[in-house]
Amino acid sequence: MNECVLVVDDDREIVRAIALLLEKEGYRVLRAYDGMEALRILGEQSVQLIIMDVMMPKLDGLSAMLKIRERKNLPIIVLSAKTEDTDKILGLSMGADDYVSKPFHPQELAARVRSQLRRYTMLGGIHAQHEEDEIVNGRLCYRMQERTLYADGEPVKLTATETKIMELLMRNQGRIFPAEEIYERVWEEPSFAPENTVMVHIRHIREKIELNPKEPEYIKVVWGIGYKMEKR
Amino acid sequence: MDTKWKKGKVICSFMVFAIGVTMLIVNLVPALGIFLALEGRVFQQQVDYQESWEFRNLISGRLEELLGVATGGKSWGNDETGVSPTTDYGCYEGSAEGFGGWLGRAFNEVTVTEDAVTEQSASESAPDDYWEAQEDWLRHQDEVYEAYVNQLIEMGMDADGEALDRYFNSYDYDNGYGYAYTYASGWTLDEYMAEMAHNKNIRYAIVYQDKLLYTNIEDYEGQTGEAWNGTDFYDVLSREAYNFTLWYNRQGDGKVQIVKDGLEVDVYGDGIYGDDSLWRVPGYANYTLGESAKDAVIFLAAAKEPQLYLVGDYSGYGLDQYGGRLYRMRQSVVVLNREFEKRCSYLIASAILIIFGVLLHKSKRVADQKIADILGKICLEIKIPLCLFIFLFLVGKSAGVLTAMVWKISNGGSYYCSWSGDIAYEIARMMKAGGYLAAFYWFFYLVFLDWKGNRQKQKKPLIRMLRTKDFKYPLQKRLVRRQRIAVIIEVIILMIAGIFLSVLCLLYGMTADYLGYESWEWVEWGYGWTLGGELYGLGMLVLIFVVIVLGVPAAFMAVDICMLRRNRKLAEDIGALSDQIQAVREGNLTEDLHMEGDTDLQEAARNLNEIQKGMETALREQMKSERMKVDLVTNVSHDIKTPLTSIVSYVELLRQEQDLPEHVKEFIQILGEKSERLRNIVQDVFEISKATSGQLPVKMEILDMGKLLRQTLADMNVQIAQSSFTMKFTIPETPMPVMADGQRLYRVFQNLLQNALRYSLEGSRIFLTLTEEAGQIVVRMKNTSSVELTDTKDFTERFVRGDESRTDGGSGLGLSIAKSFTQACGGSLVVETDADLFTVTVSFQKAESVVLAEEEELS
Repeated sequence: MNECVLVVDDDREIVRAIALLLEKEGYRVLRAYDGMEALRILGEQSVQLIIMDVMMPKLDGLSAMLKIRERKNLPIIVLSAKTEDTDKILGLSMGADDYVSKPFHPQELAARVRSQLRRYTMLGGIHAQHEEDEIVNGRLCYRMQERTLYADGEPVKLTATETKIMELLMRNQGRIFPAEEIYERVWEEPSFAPENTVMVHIRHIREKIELNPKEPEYIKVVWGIGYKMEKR
Repeated sequence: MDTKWKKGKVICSFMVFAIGVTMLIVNLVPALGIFLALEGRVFQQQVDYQESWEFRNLISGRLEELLGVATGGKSWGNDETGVSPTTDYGCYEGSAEGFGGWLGRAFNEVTVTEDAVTEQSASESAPDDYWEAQEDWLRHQDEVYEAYVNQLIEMGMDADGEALDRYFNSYDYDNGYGYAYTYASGWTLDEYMAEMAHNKNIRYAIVYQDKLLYTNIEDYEGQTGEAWNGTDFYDVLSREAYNFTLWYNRQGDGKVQIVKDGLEVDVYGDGIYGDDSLWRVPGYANYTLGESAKDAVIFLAAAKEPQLYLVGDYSGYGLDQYGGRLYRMRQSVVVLNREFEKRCSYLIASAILIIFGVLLHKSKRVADQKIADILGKICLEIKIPLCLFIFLFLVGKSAGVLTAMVWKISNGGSYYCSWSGDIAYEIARMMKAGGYLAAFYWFFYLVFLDWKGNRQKQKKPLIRMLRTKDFKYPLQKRLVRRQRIAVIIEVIILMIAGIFLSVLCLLYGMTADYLGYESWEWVEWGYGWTLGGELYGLGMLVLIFVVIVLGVPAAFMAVDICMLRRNRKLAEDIGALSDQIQAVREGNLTEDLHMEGDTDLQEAARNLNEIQKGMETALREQMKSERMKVDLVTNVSHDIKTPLTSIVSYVELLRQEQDLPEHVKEFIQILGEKSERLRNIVQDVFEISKATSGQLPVKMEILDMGKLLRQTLADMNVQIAQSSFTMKFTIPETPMPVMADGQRLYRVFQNLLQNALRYSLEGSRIFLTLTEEAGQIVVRMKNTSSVELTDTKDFTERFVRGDESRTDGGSGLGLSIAKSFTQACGGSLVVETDADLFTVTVSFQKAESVVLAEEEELS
């Protein structure tokens, strides 16, 4: 059975575009044009994921989300024309699982939907029963015995060096590593202006694990200091 | 070791130079003085004292005196003859023949002696206190003499111990006695002549009306009172010992004949007595004597090498001395010769020292610098009065000596031509003058060093201290305080001036009688002091002190305090006004300044209040419009974003359509690109509006600029590699800490690099350097523009670009954003263009590296 996605936005054209895109990806799509309607559909049908705009008539996205969260635990992706960090944080703290700012790239949205659904449906219980040699961070999971990184439950093909970098970062989430330290610990030799080498590898890792490599969510540059793995 | 040696060398070089120069100056003046005084006849052991003016003066005086004796009878002081010893040369000059010219000066000026001696002469029956008085007098004489010797020592005569000894031994009390006696008129001529006969340096014979009256030529002494048979008195004298003879009226012509060393001297020249005549003797056409003198014949002979004749006097004073004046006349020339030789040897020594000093001039310059440094540490407030005081002191002390010396030498005189016998005294003065000149030299030398070395960096700690302390106080207190300080300084200056003035007045008042160059010395010696004078002086001092030192400053202070009171209110108002201005500056625009109606600054306060009101309104409006602008941009960008989302989405859907013709696919591609660009522009506009309105949140932290640049370059590596440009970057490994928001700063350099990659000339190089310049971390990016740049353009303005056609991919906001973000982080961004060279300079204050190290440790 195909997953069912509910798209909520007062702009019909956008709803239609998203619906078309997702249907092409093979999802079943329900459409709603305000918060009230979304709540009604939710009560009638089985929905696995909601994509919802913030600014809508009758009931805005954030209020609707609060209502939904009273009963259901399904993933919600929030769409907004506001791009400021404060808006993003507000949205995420009120129960959204992801946040996509307008104008978004359709492929990115599709990827996010895919990611959220996979985690929700296939690996729903991953948080509850993860094993001891696992390090989990959001969509990512590193199994130390296997020396393998999983994204949304699927193994990511990393080179040996990339794996080493990821192991280092996953083990020390939130800690800032200067490029020299990463280089010395991964390559095990003294470094000289290693930013370029380290960056090349990080770029490759990002392409493999990030939904939008241009706006990375996991491996972040702390400008003028080093690199870190963001805790999610 | 090395530095020690260097230090020693510096000190040595300066000492050598200092001693050399001082010796040169001190000795040059007396050497020159002696040379001029002796008319260049130096380095001679056999000196003819008889050529001196003093000798001629003495001989002619003697002649006149003896003429007086011859014609005047037994009574002393007889003025009936044409020439009288009392009128032309004075009793003193004649009677004190045996008296040393050098010491005569001291006696001459001691008024005390006269009184004492008068007393003594009057008491032949020896009253009870006679001997006591004698002893007192002698003691006093000793003191006087000692003071004189001391002064000679001070002048530098101590160099010749022998000479001093001689002065001491040749000191004769009896001449003071004789002198006083003469004045007391208690002495008979016979007694006087008997005394004079002891002086064998001058042999004389007095014949009157063909009768030999007096003589001290032994062979004729028995014939006194008898008729003179016309014999030559000279026959019995040794021609070696007495090489000078003088005959008056030998031929009965009333003329003088002088024979020296067997040769007759031309006495009269053209026969008219004038200023240039050497001998002042009777016989000139315009200088003849009376009738009585025609009966007199005088013979005089002077010794070639005069001796000092001492005669024991056991009745009174132990030792009498005769003939000292001629003796000293000759001795002084000998001594001066010796003195000159000594001075010359000193001069040679000093010249050698100076040559050494010149050879070591480099070290000496170091020493000069050191001295200048030391002088620089003395604050100006001390230095200027000290300089002034030293200068005035030197001028005051030396003026008399120096002017006298200049006068003596400039008048062209010399010992042989016109000077009196006190030549050693003159030379001593010259030595003193040399000392003063040296003191002047060193004074000006130090002043020059100080001026040269410390002109720029002169310390004024007192003034600065007052000033820095000043700033601690609020304005109104500062004003009052400054006036108070001014009053105190005024009073101090007045007091100092008062003390100086009163001392000056006192000194001149006490010594008014001696107002010559010696007045100061007199005070030093204490001769000017008598009990009465002292009391008077003390009274005067107290009076002057009270008036000048206390009274005048008190009056000034009273006036100033009155002014101060009146100004205090004004000062308070100025302070309040200044406080209000400060408050306005700090943003307090609501509270008005209230001032009473009668104050001077009421108008100013009202104006300030109005400015305040105007500013408040303007500020409120500006803030309102600023907020509106940001709201507008936010809303507009939001309203653009929604339709843009549809466009992007449908373009994507179109892209996924199969079986479209090629040209349609191309259109879709263009649509995709342009919608992407629109998206970027909207994002940029939003950011810039926030940044320029100051609403951009920044997260400041200490970061390494070098790392940030390397990270940025690594981040953009792909873009750079794909471009046709070569990146040339110089980023040092050493930490370059700055306080900034890393995310924003990344955007700055990203924009700059993108800019460079977009607008540089195809295939050219892009230079990026990071340097530290005077506490600033400076990033400089240079690239060659592909289009011609216009100098006048400000590239950091919004929507300004090098190429006006706007067909490139940029929003025209890149540099503007970079500048806004840099400024938001507390740095500065400057764009310069030079022909096609485009330079962007980003500079930040360097942050404390210690903090950065700590941060790194923590992380």
